[in-house]
Amino acid sequence: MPETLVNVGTHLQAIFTILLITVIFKDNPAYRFAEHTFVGLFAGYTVALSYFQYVRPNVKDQLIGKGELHWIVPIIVGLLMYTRYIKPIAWLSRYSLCFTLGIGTGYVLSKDMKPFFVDQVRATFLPLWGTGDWWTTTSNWIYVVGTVTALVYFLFTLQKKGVQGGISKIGRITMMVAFGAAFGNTVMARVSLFLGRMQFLLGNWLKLISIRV
Amino acid sequence: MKKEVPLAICFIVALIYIVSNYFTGVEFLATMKDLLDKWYLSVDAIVVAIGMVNLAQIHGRRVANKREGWLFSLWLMLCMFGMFFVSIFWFKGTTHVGWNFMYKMIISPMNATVYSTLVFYIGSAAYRSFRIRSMEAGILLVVAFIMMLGRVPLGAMLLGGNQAFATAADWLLRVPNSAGMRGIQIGAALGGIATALRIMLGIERGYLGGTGE
Repeated sequence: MPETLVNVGTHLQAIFTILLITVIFKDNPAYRFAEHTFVGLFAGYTVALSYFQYVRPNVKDQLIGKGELHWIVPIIVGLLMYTRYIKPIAWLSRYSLCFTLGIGTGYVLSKDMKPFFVDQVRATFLPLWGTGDWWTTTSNWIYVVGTVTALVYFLFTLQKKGVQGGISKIGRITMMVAFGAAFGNTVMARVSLFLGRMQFLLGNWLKLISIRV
Repeated sequence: MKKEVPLAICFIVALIYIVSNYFTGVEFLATMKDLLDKWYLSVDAIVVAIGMVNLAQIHGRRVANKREGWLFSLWLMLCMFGMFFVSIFWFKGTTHVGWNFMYKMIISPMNATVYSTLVFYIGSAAYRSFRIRSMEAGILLVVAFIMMLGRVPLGAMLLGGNQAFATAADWLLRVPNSAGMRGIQIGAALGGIATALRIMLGIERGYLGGTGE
């Protein structure tokens, strides 16, 4: 990228970063301007990217270039989705929806089964005795009990009373620990992004601090 | 024609996909699966522009009725269509310097800034929602606190160089967090499988609504 363009980009980036950060204090027109710019640009970018990566190669190279006529099918199916906007023929969009849902359900019933169900159950079968290390044994017990009780919590066909209630309470506590960990990690990820933006503003843009990589 | 055929398409496509994933080694099935995968990506790419149409509809209405903030809506549409048409007719691909400029210097940093500002909202929302009113909320907060301190040098600094927070954070992430998440994951997988079966067999038809009889 030419240096002039990089300089222009750095200034633009800094201006938009400041405009977006102003929302911390209060919602304001400057923030709304930057927000609308971002949403507009990102929407246009995403659609253009889809066009470059899939639509153009399939239509131009495969269908027209190589004469592979089967590419007409996904083009028609895809375009049928837009009939939603024409009321008398809106039902035609169901063809497109059902095609994608068909593949989606097929995927869930064949490929998702192993990683998200079978492998997860298999990985929960941990040694609960004789590991040679009391800490590993304790951790394994917590792991197995936590997983099973969290699952029991989702058994809505049974009343949560007595033993069942006690088990699902343990499950709820396990899930709270998981949510706490997820929350802490999310906050730290966002803080790290914020620090990155501050480093850009104070280092790359204003040159007030030096950034060691 | 309006309901039965789309449902039949959903069933047949799902069946072909499932059979081709379980019976590997059959050339015809492998070709069909490969074709369905490619078609799915193409349909998906064509359908992505629905988002752009929806945005144009919502913001177009706001501009037409001159509702509050209509100038921002107009700007959003200018950015969206501008980015799209400039990409298609000028950049003509993802290797153009303008395309890289727009992504690396404008869109990507704005994306990071938007996400980074969320940290303040997460913080204030967490304060309001998770104020220690119950034992579960307390557990969540304590775990989140340990996770945060374990990820930054401040945690070790507070304990005079001791890495207890980092060790605790690692253990929390590895054992109780994984257990809770695994319980949720197995439950979600079972729910996903049941829903996929219902859709495939035409029992679940709610998604067909909104397009007339």
